[in-house]
Amino acid sequence: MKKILYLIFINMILVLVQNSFFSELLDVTFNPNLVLAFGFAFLFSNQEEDGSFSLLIGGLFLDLLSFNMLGVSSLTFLVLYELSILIRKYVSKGFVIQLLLVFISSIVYILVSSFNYPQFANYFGIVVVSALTTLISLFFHFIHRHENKFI
Amino acid sequence: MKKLFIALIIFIFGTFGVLSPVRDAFQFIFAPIQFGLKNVALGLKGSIDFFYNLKRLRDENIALLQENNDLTSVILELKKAEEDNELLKDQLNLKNKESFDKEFVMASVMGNPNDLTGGTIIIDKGLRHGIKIGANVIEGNYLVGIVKEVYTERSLVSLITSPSVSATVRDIDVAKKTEGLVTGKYGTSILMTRILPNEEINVGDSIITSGKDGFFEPGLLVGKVVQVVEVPAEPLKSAYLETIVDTSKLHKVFVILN
Repeated sequence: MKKILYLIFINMILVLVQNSFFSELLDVTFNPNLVLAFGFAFLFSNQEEDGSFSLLIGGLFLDLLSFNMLGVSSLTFLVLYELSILIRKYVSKGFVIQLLLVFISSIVYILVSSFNYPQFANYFGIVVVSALTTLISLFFHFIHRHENKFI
Repeated sequence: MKKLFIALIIFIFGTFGVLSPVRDAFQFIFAPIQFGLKNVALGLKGSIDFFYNLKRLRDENIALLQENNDLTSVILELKKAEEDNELLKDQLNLKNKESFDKEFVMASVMGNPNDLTGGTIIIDKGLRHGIKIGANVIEGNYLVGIVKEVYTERSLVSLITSPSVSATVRDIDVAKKTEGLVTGKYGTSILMTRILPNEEINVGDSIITSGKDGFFEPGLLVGKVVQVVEVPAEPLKSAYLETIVDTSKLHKVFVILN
């Protein structure tokens, strides 16, 4: 229960920072996806259940505070997450492969969430955002390794 | 897998709008925190920009002082013209009418994190405040955009710089009032097309909405001409405009209600 409340609280903070702080400070073109980075970081630490719960809640918060169709972020995150779990299970558990999974998931999510804006063609922006998201995911992974001591 | 199933159920409910009241409540509760964070980010960005652009700001300041001097003389001329105008009105016994008697609602602006093009913004007013799809969004007499989607507490506005927005316009600085069609080109750039070859348009001219499209109120200032494009092989001319309002730095806007 403590862990669930912790994940809800952290995701709430991440969504607010992502949607209201970074989107203004870094410009929307270079706004990293903190929710995806945080959830996928659990994959590195083999805490798959925590990761899927985090992505479900984080995605829902993202949609509630934006003009996305409700549930689209959670669904996209979880489909990508389950695919990543399968790739880890049957293809490779290599660190580079896992980083690549975060990178590709970020790209797919941007394309899905910006579907409403067909004029969108800023491919450089997509790559930069996804690279930033991957780096932040790595940072969260190091936090996850130590957080169990506190929770 | 269980969570994937839950996400799918939320998505299905979301598609049919069952969870809209939850969204409205959520947005209402978190709006103050979001705007607080946005203002902190803008303050921080402003400080960084200030130190980064100190030299440019100095040059800009000198230019603004010069412009201020020029404008002061223009104001004096306008005051004289106003006095003349009042005298003429009295003489003709004309009643002074307000040319623009619309109702407005003021709204705070936040960026749309899902639109990486910057072609849309979200405002903190929605259906509850009387806003409808298609309402014109302005700042002063400058056209900012048009409302594209409305929820109870928020609205999505397509900016005039977005390629998905088009408006019929006319040039107020030439005698023949050259007409055309403007479409956004991202950033602060707008393209005015369909200008007949024999019609006059010059760099620096002010362009306003004509209202002939039925979507935009007439008389709203769209921008100033920065470049006129004439290709001999093409029958029509075009021109690039620059918005007077920087749409990336909007804080407050007004939505025309009626």
